[in-house]
Amino acid sequence: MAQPKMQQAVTDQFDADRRKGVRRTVTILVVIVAAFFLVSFVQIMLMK
Amino acid sequence: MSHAATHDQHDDHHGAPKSFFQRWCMSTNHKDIGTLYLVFALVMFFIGGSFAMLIRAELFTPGMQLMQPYFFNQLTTMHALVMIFGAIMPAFVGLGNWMIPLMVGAPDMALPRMNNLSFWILPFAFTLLLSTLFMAGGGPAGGWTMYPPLSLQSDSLAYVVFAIHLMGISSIMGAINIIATILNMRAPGMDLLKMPVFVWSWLITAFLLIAVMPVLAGAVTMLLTDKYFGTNFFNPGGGGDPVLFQHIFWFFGHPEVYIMILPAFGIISEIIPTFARKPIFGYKAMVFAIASIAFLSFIVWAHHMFAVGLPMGAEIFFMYATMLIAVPTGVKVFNWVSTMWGGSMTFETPMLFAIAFVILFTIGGFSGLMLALVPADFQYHDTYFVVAHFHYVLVTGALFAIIAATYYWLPKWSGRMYSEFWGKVHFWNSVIWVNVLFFPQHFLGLAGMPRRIPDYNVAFANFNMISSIGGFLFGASQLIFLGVLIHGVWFSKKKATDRVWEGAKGLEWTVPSPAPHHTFEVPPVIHDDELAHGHVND
Repeated sequence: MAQPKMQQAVTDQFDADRRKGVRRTVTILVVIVAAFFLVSFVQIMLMK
Repeated sequence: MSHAATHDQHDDHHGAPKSFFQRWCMSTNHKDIGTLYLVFALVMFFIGGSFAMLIRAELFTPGMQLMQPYFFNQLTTMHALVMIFGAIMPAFVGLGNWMIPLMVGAPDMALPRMNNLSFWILPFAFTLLLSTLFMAGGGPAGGWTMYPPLSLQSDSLAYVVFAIHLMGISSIMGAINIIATILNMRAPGMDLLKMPVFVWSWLITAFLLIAVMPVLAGAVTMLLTDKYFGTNFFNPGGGGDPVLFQHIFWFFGHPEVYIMILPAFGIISEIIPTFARKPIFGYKAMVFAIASIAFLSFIVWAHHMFAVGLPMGAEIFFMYATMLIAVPTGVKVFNWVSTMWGGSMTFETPMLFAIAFVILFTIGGFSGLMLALVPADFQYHDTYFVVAHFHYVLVTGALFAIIAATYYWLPKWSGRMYSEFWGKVHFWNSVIWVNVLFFPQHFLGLAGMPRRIPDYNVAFANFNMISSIGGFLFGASQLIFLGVLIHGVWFSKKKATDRVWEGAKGLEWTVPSPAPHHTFEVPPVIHDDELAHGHVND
Protein backbone atom coordinates (compact mmCIF):
# COMPACT_ATOMS: atom_id res chain seq x y z
CA MET A 1 0.00 0.00 0.00
CA ALA A 2 1.34 3.43 -0.91
CA GLN A 3 2.41 5.75 1.91
CA PRO A 4 0.16 8.79 2.36
CA LYS A 5 1.60 11.99 0.90
CA MET A 6 3.50 13.89 3.62
CA GLN A 7 4.56 17.15 2.00
CA GLN A 8 2.92 19.67 -0.24
CA ALA A 9 4.46 21.26 -3.28
CA VAL A 10 5.46 24.89 -2.69
CA THR A 11 5.13 27.40 -5.50
CA ASP A 12 6.50 30.93 -5.76
CA GLN A 13 2.90 32.10 -5.76
CA PHE A 14 2.34 30.39 -2.39
CA ASP A 15 5.38 32.13 -0.92
CA ALA A 16 4.37 35.48 -2.37
CA ASP A 17 0.83 35.13 -1.01
CA ARG A 18 2.20 34.34 2.43
CA ARG A 19 4.47 37.35 2.42
CA LYS A 20 1.67 39.61 1.20
CA GLY A 21 -0.63 38.26 3.93
CA VAL A 22 1.97 38.89 6.65
CA ARG A 23 2.53 42.45 5.39
CA ARG A 24 -1.20 43.16 5.34
CA THR A 25 -1.80 41.69 8.82
CA VAL A 26 1.14 43.55 10.35
CA THR A 27 0.07 46.84 8.73
CA ILE A 28 -3.46 46.52 10.10
CA LEU A 29 -2.27 45.55 13.60
CA VAL A 30 0.36 48.28 13.76
CA VAL A 31 -2.26 50.85 12.72
CA ILE A 32 -4.58 49.57 15.48
CA VAL A 33 -1.83 49.71 18.12
CA ALA A 34 -0.65 53.13 16.95
CA ALA A 35 -4.24 54.38 17.05
CA PHE A 36 -4.67 53.08 20.61
CA PHE A 37 -1.44 54.77 21.71
CA LEU A 38 -2.34 57.98 19.92
CA VAL A 39 -5.83 58.11 21.41
CA SER A 40 -4.38 57.47 24.89
CA PHE A 41 -1.84 60.23 24.59
CA VAL A 42 -4.22 62.70 22.94
CA GLN A 43 -6.59 62.02 25.81
CA ILE A 44 -3.79 62.66 28.30
CA MET A 45 -2.99 65.95 26.62
CA LEU A 46 -6.66 67.00 26.50
CA MET A 47 -7.30 66.08 30.13
CA LYS A 48 -4.18 67.89 31.28
CA MET B 1 3.79 8.25 10.87
CA SER B 2 7.12 9.03 9.26
CA HIS B 3 8.89 12.34 9.54
CA ALA B 4 6.56 14.49 7.53
CA ALA B 5 8.36 17.63 8.48
CA THR B 6 11.98 16.82 7.84
CA HIS B 7 13.08 18.21 4.56
CA ASP B 8 15.73 15.88 3.28
CA GLN B 9 15.27 16.95 -0.29
CA HIS B 10 15.45 20.61 0.62
CA ASP B 11 18.73 22.30 -0.23
CA ASP B 12 18.65 24.74 2.70
CA HIS B 13 20.11 22.16 5.05
CA HIS B 14 21.78 24.19 7.76
CA GLY B 15 21.42 23.45 11.46
CA ALA B 16 21.86 25.71 14.47
CA PRO B 17 24.76 28.21 14.42
CA LYS B 18 27.82 26.87 16.21
CA SER B 19 28.82 29.99 18.12
CA PHE B 20 27.00 30.62 21.40
CA PHE B 21 26.56 34.32 20.68
CA GLN B 22 25.26 33.70 17.15
CA ARG B 23 22.86 31.03 18.29
CA TRP B 24 21.34 32.65 21.36
CA CYS B 25 21.78 36.39 20.94
CA MET B 26 21.27 36.72 17.19
CA SER B 27 18.75 33.93 16.77
CA THR B 28 15.75 34.28 14.52
CA ASN B 29 14.72 30.65 15.02
CA HIS B 30 11.38 30.21 16.76
CA LYS B 31 12.58 27.20 18.75
CA ASP B 32 15.70 28.93 20.08
CA ILE B 33 13.77 32.10 20.92
CA GLY B 34 11.10 29.93 22.57
CA THR B 35 13.83 28.32 24.66
CA LEU B 36 15.20 31.75 25.60
CA TYR B 37 11.75 32.88 26.75
CA LEU B 38 11.27 29.71 28.80
CA VAL B 39 14.69 29.94 30.47
CA PHE B 40 14.09 33.63 31.21
CA ALA B 41 10.68 32.79 32.70
CA LEU B 42 12.24 30.06 34.86
CA VAL B 43 14.88 32.45 36.21
CA MET B 44 12.20 35.05 36.95
CA PHE B 45 10.04 32.37 38.56
CA PHE B 46 12.80 31.63 41.04
CA ILE B 47 13.54 35.32 41.66
CA GLY B 48 9.83 36.08 42.21
CA GLY B 49 9.58 32.90 44.28
CA SER B 50 12.44 33.99 46.52
CA PHE B 51 10.53 37.23 47.19
CA ALA B 52 7.51 35.11 48.12
CA MET B 53 9.65 33.06 50.54
CA LEU B 54 10.77 36.27 52.26
CA ILE B 55 7.16 37.46 52.48
CA ARG B 56 6.04 34.16 54.03
CA ALA B 57 9.03 34.20 56.41
CA GLU B 58 8.03 37.65 57.64
CA LEU B 59 4.43 36.50 58.08
CA PHE B 60 5.41 33.25 59.83
CA THR B 61 4.52 34.71 63.21
CA PRO B 62 2.92 37.99 64.33
CA GLY B 63 5.20 40.93 64.94
CA MET B 64 8.06 42.29 62.85
CA GLN B 65 10.63 39.57 62.21
CA LEU B 66 13.07 40.13 59.40
CA MET B 67 12.53 43.43 57.64
CA GLN B 68 11.20 46.96 57.79
CA PRO B 69 7.57 47.44 56.62
CA TYR B 70 8.64 49.56 53.64
CA PHE B 71 10.86 46.74 52.35
CA PHE B 72 7.99 44.28 52.85
CA ASN B 73 5.85 46.51 50.62
CA GLN B 74 8.62 46.48 48.01
CA LEU B 75 8.68 42.70 48.15
CA THR B 76 4.94 42.26 47.61
CA THR B 77 5.08 44.74 44.71
CA MET B 78 8.12 43.18 43.07
CA HIS B 79 6.88 39.63 43.64
CA ALA B 80 3.74 40.44 41.64
CA LEU B 81 5.46 42.39 38.87
CA VAL B 82 8.15 39.74 38.41
CA MET B 83 5.73 36.80 38.47
CA ILE B 84 3.14 38.39 36.16
CA PHE B 85 5.32 40.16 33.61
CA GLY B 86 8.53 38.16 34.05
CA ALA B 87 7.46 34.58 34.67
CA ILE B 88 3.89 33.75 33.60
CA MET B 89 3.63 35.90 30.46
CA PRO B 90 7.08 35.11 29.02
CA ALA B 91 6.54 31.41 29.75
CA PHE B 92 3.37 31.41 27.64
CA VAL B 93 5.13 33.41 24.90
CA GLY B 94 7.94 30.85 24.99
CA LEU B 95 5.50 27.97 24.67
CA GLY B 96 3.73 29.81 21.86
CA ASN B 97 7.02 30.46 20.07
CA TRP B 98 8.06 26.84 20.30
CA MET B 99 4.76 25.19 19.52
CA ILE B 100 2.58 27.45 17.32
CA PRO B 101 4.69 27.09 14.13
CA LEU B 102 5.01 23.35 14.78
CA MET B 103 1.26 22.99 15.36
CA VAL B 104 0.15 24.89 12.24
CA GLY B 105 2.84 23.54 9.91
CA ALA B 106 4.74 26.84 9.55
CA PRO B 107 8.53 27.01 8.99
CA ASP B 108 8.97 29.76 11.62
CA MET B 109 7.24 32.81 13.05
CA ALA B 110 6.11 35.34 10.46
CA LEU B 111 8.56 38.01 11.70
CA PRO B 112 11.65 36.21 13.02
CA ARG B 113 13.85 39.28 13.55
CA MET B 114 11.14 41.08 15.48
CA ASN B 115 10.79 37.89 17.50
CA ASN B 116 14.42 38.22 18.56
CA LEU B 117 13.91 41.88 19.51
CA SER B 118 10.74 41.07 21.47
CA PHE B 119 12.69 38.68 23.65
CA TRP B 120 15.87 40.67 24.12
CA ILE B 121 13.97 43.72 25.36
CA LEU B 122 12.86 41.71 28.39
CA PRO B 123 16.20 41.11 30.16
CA PHE B 124 16.90 44.85 29.96
CA ALA B 125 13.42 45.70 31.25
CA PHE B 126 13.75 43.38 34.24
CA THR B 127 17.32 44.38 35.01
CA LEU B 128 16.02 47.93 35.19
CA LEU B 129 13.07 46.93 37.35
CA LEU B 130 15.07 44.76 39.76
CA SER B 131 17.89 47.30 39.99
CA THR B 132 15.50 49.67 41.77
CA LEU B 133 15.74 47.41 44.83
CA PHE B 134 19.36 48.51 45.20
CA MET B 135 18.72 52.20 44.74
CA ALA B 136 18.73 54.70 47.58
CA GLY B 137 14.96 55.08 47.77
CA GLY B 138 14.29 51.39 47.21
CA GLY B 139 12.00 49.76 44.67
CA PRO B 140 8.33 50.39 43.98
CA ALA B 141 6.24 49.74 47.08
CA GLY B 142 2.70 50.71 46.11
CA GLY B 143 1.60 47.27 44.93
CA TRP B 144 1.62 45.99 41.34
CA THR B 145 -1.59 47.97 40.74
CA MET B 146 0.39 51.19 41.36
CA TYR B 147 -2.58 53.10 42.76
CA PRO B 148 -1.90 56.79 43.27
CA PRO B 149 -1.19 58.61 45.52
CA LEU B 150 0.72 55.73 47.19
CA SER B 151 2.74 54.77 44.10
CA LEU B 152 3.69 58.40 43.51
CA GLN B 153 5.64 58.39 46.79
CA SER B 154 8.21 56.00 45.33
CA ASP B 155 11.49 57.47 44.11
CA SER B 156 11.87 54.67 41.59
CA LEU B 157 8.62 55.36 39.73
CA ALA B 158 10.35 56.60 36.58
CA TYR B 159 12.44 53.41 36.33
CA VAL B 160 9.39 51.23 36.89
CA VAL B 161 7.35 53.11 34.29
CA PHE B 162 10.15 52.79 31.75
CA ALA B 163 10.47 49.06 32.52
CA ILE B 164 6.71 48.64 32.05
CA HIS B 165 6.85 50.46 28.73
CA LEU B 166 9.62 48.11 27.58
CA MET B 167 7.62 45.04 28.65
CA GLY B 168 4.56 46.44 26.88
CA ILE B 169 6.48 47.02 23.65
CA SER B 170 7.84 43.47 23.86
CA SER B 171 4.36 42.05 24.46
CA ILE B 172 2.78 44.02 21.61
CA MET B 173 5.50 42.95 19.16
CA GLY B 174 5.11 39.35 20.31
CA ALA B 175 1.34 39.54 19.89
CA ILE B 176 1.58 41.00 16.37
CA ASN B 177 4.02 38.24 15.47
CA ILE B 178 1.75 35.51 16.77
CA ILE B 179 -1.33 36.86 14.97
CA ALA B 180 0.60 37.30 11.71
CA THR B 181 1.96 33.75 12.02
CA ILE B 182 -1.38 32.11 12.75
CA LEU B 183 -3.29 34.01 10.08
CA ASN B 184 -0.75 33.70 7.29
CA MET B 185 1.77 30.92 7.88
CA ARG B 186 -0.49 27.90 8.33
CA ALA B 187 0.13 24.95 6.04
CA PRO B 188 -2.47 24.71 3.26
CA GLY B 189 -5.36 22.64 4.60
CA MET B 190 -4.85 23.77 8.22
CA ASP B 191 -8.11 25.72 8.29
CA LEU B 192 -8.85 27.98 11.26
CA LEU B 193 -11.29 25.43 12.68
CA LYS B 194 -8.73 22.66 12.35
CA MET B 195 -6.14 24.45 14.47
CA PRO B 196 -5.29 23.02 17.89
CA VAL B 197 -7.08 24.72 20.80
CA PHE B 198 -3.71 25.98 22.11
CA VAL B 199 -3.20 27.91 18.87
CA TRP B 200 -6.72 29.33 19.09
CA SER B 201 -6.17 30.36 22.70
CA TRP B 202 -2.99 32.21 21.72
CA LEU B 203 -4.65 33.93 18.75
CA ILE B 204 -7.35 35.33 21.03
CA THR B 205 -4.83 36.19 23.77
CA ALA B 206 -2.70 38.10 21.26
CA PHE B 207 -5.69 40.29 20.34
CA LEU B 208 -6.27 40.95 24.05
CA LEU B 209 -2.62 41.99 24.43
CA ILE B 210 -2.84 44.41 21.53
CA ALA B 211 -6.01 45.93 22.93
CA VAL B 212 -4.88 46.48 26.52
CA MET B 213 -1.11 47.03 26.65
CA PRO B 214 -1.45 50.58 25.21
CA VAL B 215 -3.99 51.31 27.96
CA LEU B 216 -1.43 50.31 30.61
CA ALA B 217 1.14 52.45 28.84
CA GLY B 218 -1.26 55.41 29.02
CA ALA B 219 -2.01 54.83 32.70
CA VAL B 220 1.63 54.63 33.82
CA THR B 221 2.57 57.63 31.66
CA MET B 222 -0.10 59.66 33.45
CA LEU B 223 1.43 58.57 36.76
CA LEU B 224 4.81 59.72 35.51
CA THR B 225 3.53 63.12 34.40
CA ASP B 226 1.67 63.54 37.71
CA LYS B 227 4.90 62.97 39.62
CA TYR B 228 7.42 64.76 37.45
CA PHE B 229 5.62 67.14 35.07
CA GLY B 230 3.08 68.89 37.27
CA THR B 231 -0.09 67.30 35.92
CA ASN B 232 -3.00 66.43 38.20
CA PHE B 233 -4.75 63.50 36.55
CA PHE B 234 -5.07 61.65 39.82
CA ASN B 235 -4.59 64.49 42.30
CA PRO B 236 -7.88 65.76 43.78
CA GLY B 237 -6.05 68.90 44.93
CA GLY B 238 -5.62 69.86 41.27
CA GLY B 239 -9.02 68.72 40.05
CA GLY B 240 -7.96 65.12 39.33
CA ASP B 241 -9.39 61.86 40.62
CA PRO B 242 -7.45 58.83 41.94
CA VAL B 243 -10.40 56.59 41.06
CA LEU B 244 -9.79 57.45 37.39
CA PHE B 245 -6.49 55.56 37.64
CA GLN B 246 -8.28 52.52 39.01
CA HIS B 247 -10.71 52.55 36.07
CA ILE B 248 -7.91 52.84 33.51
CA PHE B 249 -5.68 50.33 35.28
CA TRP B 250 -8.37 47.67 35.61
CA PHE B 251 -9.52 48.18 32.02
CA PHE B 252 -6.04 46.81 31.31
CA GLY B 253 -5.81 44.64 34.42
CA HIS B 254 -8.79 42.40 34.01
CA PRO B 255 -8.06 41.36 30.41
CA GLU B 256 -4.47 40.91 31.66
CA VAL B 257 -5.77 38.23 34.04
CA TYR B 258 -7.22 36.42 31.01
CA ILE B 259 -4.00 36.92 29.06
CA MET B 260 -2.46 34.80 31.83
CA ILE B 261 -5.13 32.09 31.80
CA LEU B 262 -6.39 31.63 28.19
CA PRO B 263 -3.15 30.01 26.94
CA ALA B 264 -3.39 27.76 30.01
CA PHE B 265 -6.84 26.67 28.81
CA GLY B 266 -5.27 25.87 25.45
CA ILE B 267 -2.51 23.78 27.05
CA ILE B 268 -4.95 21.76 29.13
CA SER B 269 -7.07 21.22 26.02
CA GLU B 270 -4.02 19.62 24.36
CA ILE B 271 -2.93 17.45 27.28
CA ILE B 272 -6.23 15.94 28.41
CA PRO B 273 -7.19 14.43 24.99
CA THR B 274 -3.69 12.92 24.69
CA PHE B 275 -3.85 11.04 28.00
CA ALA B 276 -7.58 10.26 27.75
CA ARG B 277 -6.89 8.95 24.23
CA LYS B 278 -9.99 10.70 22.95
CA PRO B 279 -10.53 13.79 20.79
CA ILE B 280 -11.38 16.90 22.79
CA PHE B 281 -15.09 17.03 23.60
CA GLY B 282 -16.80 20.02 21.95
CA TYR B 283 -13.90 21.53 20.01
CA LYS B 284 -15.93 24.40 18.59
CA ALA B 285 -17.56 25.10 21.95
CA MET B 286 -14.07 25.31 23.48
CA VAL B 287 -12.98 27.87 20.89
CA PHE B 288 -16.16 29.94 21.26
CA ALA B 289 -15.86 29.75 25.05
CA ILE B 290 -12.35 31.22 24.90
CA ALA B 291 -13.58 33.99 22.57
CA SER B 292 -16.54 34.69 24.88
CA ILE B 293 -14.31 34.90 27.95
CA ALA B 294 -12.02 37.30 26.07
CA PHE B 295 -14.97 39.51 25.10
CA LEU B 296 -16.41 39.52 28.63
CA SER B 297 -13.00 40.43 30.06
CA PHE B 298 -13.48 43.98 28.67
CA ILE B 299 -16.75 44.68 30.47
CA VAL B 300 -16.02 43.52 34.03
CA TRP B 301 -13.13 45.74 35.16
CA ALA B 302 -15.00 47.60 37.90
CA HIS B 303 -15.55 44.43 39.94
CA HIS B 304 -12.08 45.22 41.32
CA MET B 305 -13.44 48.53 42.56
CA PHE B 306 -16.78 47.79 44.23
CA ALA B 307 -15.52 49.31 47.48
CA VAL B 308 -14.58 52.73 46.01
CA GLY B 309 -18.19 53.90 45.90
CA LEU B 310 -19.51 53.25 42.40
CA PRO B 311 -23.14 54.06 41.54
CA MET B 312 -25.49 51.19 42.40
CA GLY B 313 -26.42 50.64 38.73
CA ALA B 314 -22.75 50.22 37.81
CA GLU B 315 -22.14 47.79 40.68
CA ILE B 316 -25.09 45.65 39.60
CA PHE B 317 -24.00 45.69 35.95
CA PHE B 318 -20.42 44.68 36.77
CA MET B 319 -21.62 42.02 39.21
CA TYR B 320 -23.85 40.30 36.63
CA ALA B 321 -21.32 40.71 33.82
CA THR B 322 -18.69 39.06 36.03
CA MET B 323 -21.00 36.21 36.98
CA LEU B 324 -21.68 35.67 33.26
CA ILE B 325 -18.03 34.60 32.80
CA ALA B 326 -18.85 31.45 34.74
CA VAL B 327 -20.91 30.24 31.76
CA PRO B 328 -18.14 29.88 29.13
CA THR B 329 -15.69 28.85 31.86
CA GLY B 330 -18.15 26.15 32.95
CA VAL B 331 -18.42 25.00 29.34
CA LYS B 332 -14.66 24.49 29.31
CA VAL B 333 -14.52 22.64 32.62
CA PHE B 334 -17.41 20.34 31.65
CA ASN B 335 -15.80 19.69 28.24
CA TRP B 336 -12.50 18.72 29.87
CA VAL B 337 -14.33 16.36 32.19
CA SER B 338 -16.37 14.99 29.26
CA THR B 339 -13.15 14.41 27.33
CA MET B 340 -11.86 12.28 30.20
CA TRP B 341 -15.18 10.48 30.61
CA GLY B 342 -14.91 6.99 29.14
CA GLY B 343 -11.35 7.58 27.96
CA SER B 344 -8.47 5.13 28.34
CA MET B 345 -6.76 7.38 30.80
CA THR B 346 -3.20 7.15 32.03
CA PHE B 347 -1.67 9.43 34.60
CA GLU B 348 1.73 10.62 33.46
CA THR B 349 3.04 13.82 35.06
CA PRO B 350 1.55 16.26 32.48
CA MET B 351 -1.88 14.66 32.93
CA LEU B 352 -1.59 14.83 36.73
CA PHE B 353 -0.86 18.54 36.54
CA ALA B 354 -3.71 18.98 34.02
CA ILE B 355 -6.23 17.23 36.29
CA ALA B 356 -4.99 19.25 39.26
CA PHE B 357 -5.47 22.35 37.11
CA VAL B 358 -9.09 21.48 36.35
CA ILE B 359 -9.94 20.90 40.03
CA LEU B 360 -7.93 23.68 41.64
CA PHE B 361 -8.58 26.31 38.98
CA THR B 362 -12.26 25.63 39.52
CA ILE B 363 -11.82 26.39 43.23
CA GLY B 364 -10.22 29.70 42.19
CA GLY B 365 -13.15 30.27 39.84
CA PHE B 366 -15.69 29.67 42.59
CA SER B 367 -13.98 32.08 44.98
CA GLY B 368 -13.97 34.54 42.06
CA LEU B 369 -17.73 34.16 41.82
CA MET B 370 -17.99 34.90 45.55
CA LEU B 371 -15.92 38.05 45.02
CA ALA B 372 -18.19 39.07 42.14
CA LEU B 373 -21.12 39.47 44.54
CA VAL B 374 -21.21 43.14 45.48
CA PRO B 375 -22.46 42.78 49.08
CA ALA B 376 -20.06 39.92 49.81
CA ASP B 377 -17.16 41.78 48.19
CA PHE B 378 -17.50 44.55 50.74
CA GLN B 379 -16.40 41.99 53.32
CA TYR B 380 -13.76 40.23 51.20
CA HIS B 381 -12.24 43.31 49.56
CA ASP B 382 -8.52 43.80 50.24
CA THR B 383 -8.36 40.76 52.50
CA TYR B 384 -6.39 37.52 52.24
CA PHE B 385 -9.47 35.95 50.63
CA VAL B 386 -8.56 37.88 47.48
CA VAL B 387 -4.94 36.72 47.80
CA ALA B 388 -6.13 33.10 48.10
CA HIS B 389 -8.46 33.54 45.10
CA PHE B 390 -5.97 34.91 42.62
CA HIS B 391 -3.22 32.52 43.72
CA TYR B 392 -5.54 29.59 43.05
CA VAL B 393 -6.13 31.04 39.59
CA LEU B 394 -2.54 31.98 38.83
CA VAL B 395 -0.51 29.30 40.63
CA THR B 396 -2.68 26.20 40.41
CA GLY B 397 -4.12 27.62 37.18
CA ALA B 398 -1.56 29.37 35.00
CA LEU B 399 1.61 28.02 36.63
CA PHE B 400 0.40 24.42 36.81
CA ALA B 401 -0.54 24.63 33.11
CA ILE B 402 2.96 25.92 32.27
CA ILE B 403 4.53 23.09 34.29
CA ALA B 404 2.19 20.56 32.63
CA ALA B 405 3.14 21.93 29.20
CA THR B 406 6.83 21.71 30.06
CA TYR B 407 6.56 18.03 31.01
CA TYR B 408 4.34 17.38 27.97
CA TRP B 409 6.56 18.95 25.32
CA LEU B 410 10.02 18.66 26.98
CA PRO B 411 10.76 15.30 25.29
CA LYS B 412 9.96 16.91 21.92
CA TRP B 413 12.31 19.80 22.70
CA SER B 414 15.22 17.88 24.17
CA GLY B 415 14.82 14.45 22.56
CA ARG B 416 15.08 12.82 26.02
CA MET B 417 12.43 11.58 28.42
CA TYR B 418 12.39 13.22 31.82
CA SER B 419 12.24 11.02 34.93
CA GLU B 420 8.59 10.08 35.39
CA PHE B 421 9.27 9.09 39.00
CA TRP B 422 10.74 12.47 39.93
CA GLY B 423 8.08 14.22 37.88
CA LYS B 424 5.45 12.58 40.04
CA VAL B 425 7.38 13.39 43.21
CA HIS B 426 7.37 17.00 42.03
CA PHE B 427 3.65 16.83 41.28
CA TRP B 428 2.53 15.37 44.61
CA ASN B 429 4.71 17.75 46.59
CA SER B 430 3.47 20.71 44.59
CA VAL B 431 -0.20 19.81 44.77
CA ILE B 432 -0.15 19.11 48.51
CA TRP B 433 1.93 22.09 49.61
CA VAL B 434 0.24 24.59 47.31
CA ASN B 435 -3.03 23.82 49.06
CA VAL B 436 -1.42 24.05 52.49
CA LEU B 437 -0.03 27.39 51.33
CA PHE B 438 -3.13 29.01 49.86
CA PHE B 439 -6.22 27.30 51.27
CA PRO B 440 -5.83 28.71 54.82
CA GLN B 441 -5.62 32.17 53.30
CA HIS B 442 -9.35 31.91 52.50
CA PHE B 443 -10.03 31.58 56.24
CA LEU B 444 -7.64 34.42 57.07
CA GLY B 445 -9.46 36.67 54.62
CA LEU B 446 -12.90 35.72 55.88
CA ALA B 447 -11.68 36.44 59.41
CA GLY B 448 -10.65 39.91 58.27
CA MET B 449 -6.89 39.82 57.78
CA PRO B 450 -5.94 42.60 55.32
CA ARG B 451 -3.55 41.88 52.47
CA ARG B 452 -0.20 43.64 51.98
CA ILE B 453 0.64 43.99 55.69
CA PRO B 454 3.88 42.81 57.37
CA ASP B 455 2.35 42.39 60.83
CA TYR B 456 -1.04 41.13 61.99
CA ASN B 457 -3.28 40.38 64.93
CA VAL B 458 -2.33 37.29 66.96
CA ALA B 459 -5.78 35.88 66.12
CA PHE B 460 -4.41 35.10 62.64
CA ALA B 461 -1.24 33.41 63.87
CA ASN B 462 -2.08 29.73 63.34
CA PHE B 463 -3.30 29.92 59.76
CA ASN B 464 -0.38 32.19 58.83
CA MET B 465 2.10 29.69 60.23
CA ILE B 466 0.43 26.84 58.32
CA SER B 467 0.43 28.94 55.17
CA SER B 468 4.12 29.80 55.57
CA ILE B 469 5.08 26.15 56.11
CA GLY B 470 3.14 25.27 52.94
CA GLY B 471 4.91 28.13 51.16
CA PHE B 472 8.41 27.00 52.13
CA LEU B 473 7.70 23.40 51.12
CA PHE B 474 6.00 24.44 47.85
CA GLY B 475 9.03 26.60 47.10
CA ALA B 476 11.40 23.74 47.91
CA SER B 477 9.34 21.40 45.69
CA GLN B 478 10.17 23.57 42.70
CA LEU B 479 13.83 22.69 43.15
CA ILE B 480 12.76 19.13 42.26
CA PHE B 481 11.29 20.59 39.06
CA LEU B 482 14.61 22.27 38.32
CA GLY B 483 16.40 18.95 38.88
CA VAL B 484 13.97 17.07 36.61
CA LEU B 485 14.46 19.69 33.90
CA ILE B 486 18.27 19.60 34.07
CA HIS B 487 18.22 15.79 34.00
CA GLY B 488 15.62 15.68 31.22
CA VAL B 489 17.48 18.11 28.99
CA TRP B 490 21.09 16.94 29.39
CA PHE B 491 21.48 13.70 31.28
CA SER B 492 18.54 11.36 30.71
CA LYS B 493 19.55 8.15 28.93
CA LYS B 494 16.02 7.45 27.75
CA LYS B 495 15.51 8.77 24.22
CA ALA B 496 12.12 10.19 23.31
CA THR B 497 10.26 8.73 20.36
CA ASP B 498 8.85 11.06 17.72
CA ARG B 499 5.29 10.75 18.98
CA VAL B 500 6.43 10.64 22.66
CA TRP B 501 2.93 9.92 24.06
CA GLU B 502 0.81 7.06 22.77
CA GLY B 503 -2.33 9.17 22.37
CA ALA B 504 -0.63 12.31 21.07
CA LYS B 505 -2.03 13.76 17.87
CA GLY B 506 -1.16 16.88 15.93
CA LEU B 507 1.59 18.07 13.60
CA GLU B 508 4.14 18.67 16.35
CA TRP B 509 4.36 14.93 16.98
CA THR B 510 5.17 14.16 13.35
CA VAL B 511 8.61 15.75 13.54
CA PRO B 512 11.57 13.89 15.09
CA SER B 513 12.52 14.28 18.77
CA PRO B 514 14.36 16.53 19.39
CA ALA B 515 12.67 18.74 16.84
CA PRO B 516 15.20 19.67 14.12
CA HIS B 517 16.41 23.26 14.00
CA HIS B 518 14.25 23.84 10.91
CA THR B 519 10.89 22.18 10.40
CA PHE B 520 8.08 22.43 7.87
CA GLU B 521 10.08 24.41 5.32
CA VAL B 522 7.96 22.36 2.95
CA PRO B 523 4.35 22.48 4.23
CA PRO B 524 3.06 19.14 5.51
CA VAL B 525 -0.13 17.53 4.25
CA ILE B 526 -2.91 17.83 6.83
CA HIS B 527 -4.71 14.56 7.57
CA ASP B 528 -7.90 15.11 9.57
CA ASP B 529 -7.48 11.89 11.55
CA GLU B 530 -4.08 13.14 12.73
CA LEU B 531 -5.58 16.21 14.41
CA ALA B 532 -6.00 16.24 18.19
CA HIS B 533 -9.68 17.10 17.94
CA GLY B 534 -10.61 14.60 15.22
CA HIS B 535 -13.00 15.42 12.37
CA VAL B 536 -14.39 18.76 13.49
CA ASN B 537 -16.94 19.14 10.73
CA ASP B 538 -18.39 15.62 10.94
